[in-house]
Amino acid sequence: MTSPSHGLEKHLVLLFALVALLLAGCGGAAEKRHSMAPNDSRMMAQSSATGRVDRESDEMADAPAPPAEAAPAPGRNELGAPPPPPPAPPKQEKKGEPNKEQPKAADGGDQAPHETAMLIYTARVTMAVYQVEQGLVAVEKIAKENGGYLAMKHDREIVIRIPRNRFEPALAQIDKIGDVLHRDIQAQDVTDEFVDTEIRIKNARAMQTRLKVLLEKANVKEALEIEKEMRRVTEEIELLEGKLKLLKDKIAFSTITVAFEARGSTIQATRIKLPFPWLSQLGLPTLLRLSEDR
Amino acid sequence: MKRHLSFILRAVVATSLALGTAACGKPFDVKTAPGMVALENQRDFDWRATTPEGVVVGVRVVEDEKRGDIPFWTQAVTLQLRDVSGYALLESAEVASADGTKGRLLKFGHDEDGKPYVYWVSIYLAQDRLFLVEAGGPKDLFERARPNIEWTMKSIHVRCNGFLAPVLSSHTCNRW
Repeated sequence: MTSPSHGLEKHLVLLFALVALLLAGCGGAAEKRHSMAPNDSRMMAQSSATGRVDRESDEMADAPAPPAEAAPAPGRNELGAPPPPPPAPPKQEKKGEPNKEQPKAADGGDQAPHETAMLIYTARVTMAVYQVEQGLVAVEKIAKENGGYLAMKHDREIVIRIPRNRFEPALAQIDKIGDVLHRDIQAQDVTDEFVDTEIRIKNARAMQTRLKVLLEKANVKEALEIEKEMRRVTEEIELLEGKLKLLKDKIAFSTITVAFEARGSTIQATRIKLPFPWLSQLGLPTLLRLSEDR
Repeated sequence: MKRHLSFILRAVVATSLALGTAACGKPFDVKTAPGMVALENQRDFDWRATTPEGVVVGVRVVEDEKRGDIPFWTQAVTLQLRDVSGYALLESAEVASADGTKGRLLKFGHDEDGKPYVYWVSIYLAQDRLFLVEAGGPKDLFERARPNIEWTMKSIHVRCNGFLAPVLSSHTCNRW
């Protein structure tokens, strides 16, 4: 027969055992959760790394190869999964290297014409005739600030050349220097002309080479004829190259003309004249003419 | 006695009417600022005054222009000066005459013989008429005379406030 205290002791032992089991279960679960995390992170790291390699395979061609997986490196977890790689630093551009995102058409490069449209931008801004001298100086300053130059300057008109990529900002600056009455912007597509000129130069050069080969084998009479033809081909190449250079310049530098003038003549032709004669008498000449009395 | 009173009353009314219709004054009132002199016998203007340097203020009254409102005339004047004459519109602001009539002030700039000039014009509508108050001159001189110019431009009365206004037509009232 068991004593009551012995029975109580037995119950307590059972209770402790139950609590211990519960605690052990909790700990196990916690440990299980803990061990899942590296697996997940490894999977994520792998997929992310794969993605990176796929994405950056070209860019990272000369990057150092990842370390071999034979020995677990410090920082690796027990399953041998590498820690997620740090994000790659942004690729630094070399100094003086042109920005690859910029359209190549802007600088009139040789590769661009076949891929993008070759456009020549021109603008004519008509401004009210007020403080013209100051306005002309301001426009010239805008040209210099934007990497452009003065092309022509008259009493009431100025022409500036602006790098293509500064065309819009320069126009916005010009708008602020006076009362803009009219603005005319044109974009002329010269892609066909550009490509055609390039092809014609290529063909002429090929012809020049063939003529040189023929000249080596020719007799005197033939040589004279070939040289005559070579002169013609050389002239043609020079002309075409000059044309191509001009086109490249026009593409690379937009032209902005600012004119300080009234639009009277154009307006009179296009606008209906209001039947109020007094309107045309408004202005400084009538107001300031003090000598004419009734 | 009754006949006498009746005669006097008729004489007063007749004289008033005669004075009213025969009045050769202008349908507005404007004050000449110190430092300016009003000019006489004006052809294109109903009133004009100048500083010794030639900065001028003038008032022009256009009859029978009851057809448009202030925005219409503002736009018409702006198009004429800005687009046709090449004036630079520098500012457009609401103004009020001395009698509280609301109007529009347009400030323009224009080069004459290579020199910058200033030209202001205020537009008011009252009495079925259009009142144009103009001021202008070389920029530097105008800036110097500006307080006097502004004072003169603001001194104009264009509204008909006389006791005869409700009775008589707008052509006879408000003649100063």
